[in-house]
Amino acid sequence: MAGSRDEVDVLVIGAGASGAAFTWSLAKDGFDVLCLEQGGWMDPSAYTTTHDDWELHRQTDFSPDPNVRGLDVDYPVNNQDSPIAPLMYNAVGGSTIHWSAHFPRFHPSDFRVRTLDGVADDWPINYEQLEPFFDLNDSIMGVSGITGDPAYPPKSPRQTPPIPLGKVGDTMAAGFEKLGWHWWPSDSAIISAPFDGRVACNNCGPCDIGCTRRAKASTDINYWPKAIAAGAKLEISARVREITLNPDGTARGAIFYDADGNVQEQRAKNVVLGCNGIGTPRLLLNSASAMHPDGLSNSSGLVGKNLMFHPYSIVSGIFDEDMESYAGPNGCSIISQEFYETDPSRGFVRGYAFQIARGAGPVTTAQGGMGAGPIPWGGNHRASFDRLFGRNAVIAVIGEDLPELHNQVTIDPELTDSDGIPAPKVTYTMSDNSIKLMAHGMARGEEVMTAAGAIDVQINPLLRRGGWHLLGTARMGNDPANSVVDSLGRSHDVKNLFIIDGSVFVTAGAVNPTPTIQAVALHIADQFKQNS
Amino acid sequence: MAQFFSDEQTTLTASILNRIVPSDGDFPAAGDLGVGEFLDGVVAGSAELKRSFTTGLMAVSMAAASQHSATFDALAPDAQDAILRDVESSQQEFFSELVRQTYNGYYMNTRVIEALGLEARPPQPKGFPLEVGNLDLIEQVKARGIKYRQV
Repeated sequence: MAGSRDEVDVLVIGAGASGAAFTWSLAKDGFDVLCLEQGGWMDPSAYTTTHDDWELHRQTDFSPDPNVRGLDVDYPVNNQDSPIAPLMYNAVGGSTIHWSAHFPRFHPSDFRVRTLDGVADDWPINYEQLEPFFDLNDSIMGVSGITGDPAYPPKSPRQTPPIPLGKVGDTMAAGFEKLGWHWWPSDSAIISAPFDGRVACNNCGPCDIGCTRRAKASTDINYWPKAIAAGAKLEISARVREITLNPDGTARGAIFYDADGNVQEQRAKNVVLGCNGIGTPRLLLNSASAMHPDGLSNSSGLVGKNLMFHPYSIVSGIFDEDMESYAGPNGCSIISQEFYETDPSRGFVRGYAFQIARGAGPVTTAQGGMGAGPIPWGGNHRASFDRLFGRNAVIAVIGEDLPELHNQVTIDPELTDSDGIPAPKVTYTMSDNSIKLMAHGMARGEEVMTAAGAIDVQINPLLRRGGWHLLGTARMGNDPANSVVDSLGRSHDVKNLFIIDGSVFVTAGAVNPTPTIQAVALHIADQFKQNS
Repeated sequence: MAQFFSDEQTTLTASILNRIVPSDGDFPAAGDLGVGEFLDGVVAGSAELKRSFTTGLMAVSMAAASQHSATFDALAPDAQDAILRDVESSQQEFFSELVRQTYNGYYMNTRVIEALGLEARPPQPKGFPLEVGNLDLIEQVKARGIKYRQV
């Protein structure tokens, strides 16, 4: 028998990038908000960047892959039918705990893909509508960078100067200049100078195992303290099993397992999902009922469909000098958007970006970094290692995959999490357009790596453990037959149910999505407040 | 005191590790460095690895006996390498984990990190100095004009 609790005005599920921003926005204006999060609070001082075995943790208990971590707070994902493994973190802060904090916005054209290129669909919102929320979000997260990037409309001043380019960034920038290609210091949600009570980054490298200094933004250290101070409630170790409904078809609340494993029902006047592009469709599909036999809010049949990941190809260059490439935030130095916008002469639509990466320590270098596998053992081992370590630069080619019905999240018939809740399965393949686009990116990546002076270039065509971005599985649109939520994030089928995470993305762009996810969440929060 | 390996397995593992990462100038071979102890601890923590290492290490001994009528550690380096290459293809799971964990134990070792010319310390709390870089170059990027599509 479910325990009963006081009804709240707004119940948010998931305390990650979107849930934190949304909750803060409502709480600061006096709304009664409770957030349920299946994970717990992280303790930045316990992150392993201060441990001698720090590099081993990204292979085990701090792997980006929940199946490798296998913690009780995680849920497994059947990824056998996908060439890309989905990655996520489950805690207050969600995947901002382990992200690299690369922080590029979507472009205006990303919201008008059907109109401009005749594929996918237009979004029901646009860049101009989101712009104030991009700026607002930047002011909370803290973004380092420099204005004036010709690949974007003018942006508001960045909170701190750019993350140092270092020798890797400088060398690659010179390569781009040689070819006359666009590049720019990355917008990074990592502060390079004191900001909002936080100290500056000291370029230690492994952002992905958690930032001990709290220089890297994660929503547990910025949005959440502000939201809680404003009156928001956050309950941890609270794993939601299903959304419940009133007889009139509106959402009644959620059934969840509390910290002691007891089943509880939390009632709410409004229910808001911020569980990421896999967790949100999982929850909707697990909430099937007589009224919604194919899953909640799924009259369109699109819940779980159109999964987009951003395929990554890795172009690694080796230089014949010390590049100090073990130093510096590993995902943030410079970006190139030379090939971002559609050029029909290339034989594909849409485009890709180059993200320059660095920061591989000795162990990660030996294991092959983001390349195809470990360096050779035996008599040539030491020479192979010395040729690579500190002397490489990496281009991550991040491509725009299009929404395609065959790429999807479903419920696995057997797999469950530690509470017995059915777990998701992902099925994904790359279409002809995506393959051509990535092939173009690899060739151009090799060209610029050579222009930058690399003496050898190695390419990993597809990074398996690269599914950082989980998008599109409950998309927004004006037509209820062709979308799950409207432009306000409101379910077409259940009027007091909202979705605020990357699930609502209509298309994926070719940049890391978090700033846009958070801007969309803040936009939905703003509309919610105006309409309440 | 080994946690899982027998005395024979400890000796054999050291010989194998000396071929996975042989010595090179200031760099000791992995077995001589004691990476076997690290490996023993990793294997001891996993039932799956206990099974694959028990089989894999036995396969190495049996290959040495059948091909050379000798123990693995008594063979010349070239002969050892040939056996390891055979086992690499016949016992793939064992061998890939052996290599992975050898690299893990080797490249987090203080002596190795110092031989690389680095301070033997984790990334924090000191971090690294990093050049701001040549930001003047962005003027050239700007001069090439607007790069985003107008909608």
